[in-house]
Amino acid sequence: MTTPTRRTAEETGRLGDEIFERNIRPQVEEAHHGKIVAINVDSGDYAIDDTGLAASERLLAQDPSADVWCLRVGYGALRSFGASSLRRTG
Amino acid sequence: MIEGVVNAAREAVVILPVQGPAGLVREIEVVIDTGYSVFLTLPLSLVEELGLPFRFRGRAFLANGSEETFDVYGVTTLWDGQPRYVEADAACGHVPARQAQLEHRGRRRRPGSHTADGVNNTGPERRLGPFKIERP
Repeated sequence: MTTPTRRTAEETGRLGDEIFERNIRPQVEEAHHGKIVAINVDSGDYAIDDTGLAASERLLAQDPSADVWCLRVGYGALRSFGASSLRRTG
Repeated sequence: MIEGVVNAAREAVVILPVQGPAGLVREIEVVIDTGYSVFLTLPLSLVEELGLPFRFRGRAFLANGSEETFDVYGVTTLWDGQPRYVEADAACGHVPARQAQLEHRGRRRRPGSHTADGVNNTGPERRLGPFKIERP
């Protein structure tokens, strides 16, 4: 197994959320609603695609050690389990 | 078409072969959960055994209203006879058993020996009724 990043998952999430809100959200919110944004939290680079796997593979092709955080544009979470919803953010 | 069974816990179960990057194959019993928004959740022990590559992290809302951060790995499955490279979630923290989509129940075969008809091997004592998943 490729080892997860040196950060805790919570730290990766905090950095990813900050980068998204500061640099990415204004550019993608309308045109890419519902798409997945993968963010390299070290460099700030990002990729948009239909799945987290497709978006993250593009970042990992550039930097195989990238610490990647994924979000769904317009929603509070990437996944939902059971009866919960993804909760729209705007 | 995929055939499965409904077990004694009233769960719809199918057998799914999963393969790691080195070719190691395991057959697992997968509980179908229509409330789950992606493809597959795997226990971390199986992720480690198969040597799956770590891809990214994300956030999930659980059925009880809480949030969980999880790691996502890439895995090859044989779904309806077709190989598919898909996302496999592995929760970073504690995930209640009822919220896991997949249980790794120790049904193992040698690499390369898996078949699509393994549902018949789950035992008649657990088999309440068959079901089928049609291609859309």
